[in-house]
Amino acid sequence: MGAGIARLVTGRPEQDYSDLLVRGGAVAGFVFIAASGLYLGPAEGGPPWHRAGAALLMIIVFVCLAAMWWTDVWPLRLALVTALITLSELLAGVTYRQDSDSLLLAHSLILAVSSTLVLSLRNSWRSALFTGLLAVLVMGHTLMSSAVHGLGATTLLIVAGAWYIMFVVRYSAPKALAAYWNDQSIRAESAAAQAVACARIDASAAEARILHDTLLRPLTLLARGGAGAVPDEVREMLTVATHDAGGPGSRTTPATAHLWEATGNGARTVRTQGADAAVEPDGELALLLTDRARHHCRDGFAVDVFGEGGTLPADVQLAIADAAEECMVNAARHAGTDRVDVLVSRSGSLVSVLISDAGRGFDPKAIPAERFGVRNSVVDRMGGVGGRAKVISTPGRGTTVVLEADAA
Amino acid sequence: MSLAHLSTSRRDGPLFISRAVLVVTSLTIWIISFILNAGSLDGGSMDHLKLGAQAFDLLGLAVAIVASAPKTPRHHLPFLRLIWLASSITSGTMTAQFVTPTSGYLSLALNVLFGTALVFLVAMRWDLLGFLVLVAANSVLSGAYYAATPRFGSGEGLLIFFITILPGLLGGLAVFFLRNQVQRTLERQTLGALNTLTAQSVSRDAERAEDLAETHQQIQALFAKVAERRGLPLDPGFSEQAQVLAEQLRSQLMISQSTNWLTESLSLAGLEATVMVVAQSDLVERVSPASRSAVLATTMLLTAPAGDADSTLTARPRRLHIFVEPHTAATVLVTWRVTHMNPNRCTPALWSELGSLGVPRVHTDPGGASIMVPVEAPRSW
Repeated sequence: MGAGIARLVTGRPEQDYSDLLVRGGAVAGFVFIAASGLYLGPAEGGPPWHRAGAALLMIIVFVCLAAMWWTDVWPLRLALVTALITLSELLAGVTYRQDSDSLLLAHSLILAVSSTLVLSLRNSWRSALFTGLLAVLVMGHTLMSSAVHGLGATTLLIVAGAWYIMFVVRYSAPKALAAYWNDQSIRAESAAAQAVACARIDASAAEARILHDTLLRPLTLLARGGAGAVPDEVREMLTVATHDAGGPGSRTTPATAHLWEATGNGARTVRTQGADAAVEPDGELALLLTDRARHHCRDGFAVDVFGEGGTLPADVQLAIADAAEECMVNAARHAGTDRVDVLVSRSGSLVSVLISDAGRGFDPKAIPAERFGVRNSVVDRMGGVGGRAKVISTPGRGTTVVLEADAA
Repeated sequence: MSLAHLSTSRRDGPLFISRAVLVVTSLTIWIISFILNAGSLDGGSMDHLKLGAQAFDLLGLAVAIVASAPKTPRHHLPFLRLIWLASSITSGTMTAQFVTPTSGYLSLALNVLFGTALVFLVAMRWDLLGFLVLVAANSVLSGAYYAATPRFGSGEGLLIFFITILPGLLGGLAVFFLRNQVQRTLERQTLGALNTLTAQSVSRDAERAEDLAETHQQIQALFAKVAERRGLPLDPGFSEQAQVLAEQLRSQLMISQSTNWLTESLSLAGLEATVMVVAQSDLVERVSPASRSAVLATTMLLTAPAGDADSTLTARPRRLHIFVEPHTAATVLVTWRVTHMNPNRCTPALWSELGSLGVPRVHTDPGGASIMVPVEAPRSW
């Protein structure tokens, strides 16, 4: 069938093989002949040989239509037209047609089936001439029959209308199918181009995030001569395992569990590098965030994590933790404050994380294009897992970053 | 490559291939019906019913043509279908009233056959199920008209049933088989295009990746050197080298981030010379992922010539500009400006894609046409 469509789209076949339109016409003709035969059969009159002749003609018509599935050579088409004309005369005699307009309609439908032969019309003068001769044969018979027996213009109108419609189908359908096919191909190509482009951009953004978080951050610290950092921090940042292991997320390991110390009120305190960070984790996301916060609690800078977020899909959880950590790093480096609060909350399937500081704040619209921290490591990272990030900050009034994602 | 971004086609394209064929068919049947009814006018009391039925049929044809037009807004379609149904029922009821034991059957048959043809037109922008439901409803209604005539019970209803249900079934089967075939072929084409474009994307990206890898190596070498030294402050030479490498890395990341999904897709499709995107990257990135495929498909369909190949208008090369502008908080306004284009010659697939984005507005002028549509694009922050 695919080859049939392709042949139909590219033009008429050179040989007498049937294409999709001819086959469709044969099926439609078969169905309408069968329907008309079923209706006209019981009303059939005349001598007994009429019945036998009509049955034989029905078989011939069906065989011709079945053969049209494979070939539409001219003798087959001529035989079909001849059989249809004879069948219409046998199945609906003149007397009956004059008496009943329903029999007249069935008779007209049998003749109208001949119009499907227009679908075999090819772009050659021989084909046009032959199809024209068939049209003259059918129309001539219809006209003479109607005139001789005083049947009016009904049959002629129906048959001529059917031939005209099939002619339009013959010349419109291939063009329409070609346009449809072309459009679908363009849609397929556009879907593929968009998928490849988005995958490439996502990969590029992920790569930029990793490079920013693992290379650019320590590189900037080195460019400042290590100012503001302790030697252990510099050594930790430069560890190959850190910047080759896929970013900050790789630092969360069960081995850090021993760092937790239970406190009397249920909250737990992390003691790291001489700095305390008070945390109140109740869910897995909060635990992960507290673990991330531990790395940034030093020299009097504290990150407090409150609330619970429950368990989220791994990719969403990791994205939130990485984005939140980037906010902690930014606050430690730029906010000029010694404390950051991280509030985790969950409402239904919506998980929110607020990272808030009372530092010097900034204008989010004034971030230069070459700075990747907020755009790539926070906003795009959240967007990549279907979440969103909102930065609320005013110079002199602190910064709050809201991370939201669906946990479902 | 991840297939997460591959849009599985919704593709509410036209249900049937050629609207022109259906319009011609419907019009031909109406003309035949009109000629036969006009010929049977006898000055009697039934004449107004005959003419009224023809008028309602003509109204139904006009409504069906509008309902099948690719540019008709999608939200108007249910109302148009209801109007058509009402006109069809009115026409059928009026026709059934002038059927007598000896005449009028042909008028009723042509009326229901006309209704069947209009079902195809009305369902043109519907789905297969909607079409089959309409075919069944039309068949039941046709049976009801016949049942209201004095000829009910004579067996002639069988023919009415045939001419209403058979075309619908054949049409439904044709749509089913053709769509299956097209779907299978397009899946193969999409997979082939994915492989080709992925290879193309990797080769285009190779130079940038090599530069980045080289910088990465230099940075690692610097880190290794710094790690060997103990204590702070660092050697000023390391700081300078770190500053240079940081700038180098930033500029390489800037280059890798300088594109957006639209320009990258167009570039992969080989349309960078034909299509010019005039938009801020952040606005383009705001376009929701669900709409991106339709935006790109619209662009690519607009660049492809439609209509007769020998037409002067379609034979001239087109240039296309895409403007993306802020619109509302949740939308951006996308405008396609195409030279040498007549929107009336665009294919239904284009209007289908545009309709999936929003309600398009079209402005034509002697130089071409502009198509504007507000596209869903929520702010990320």
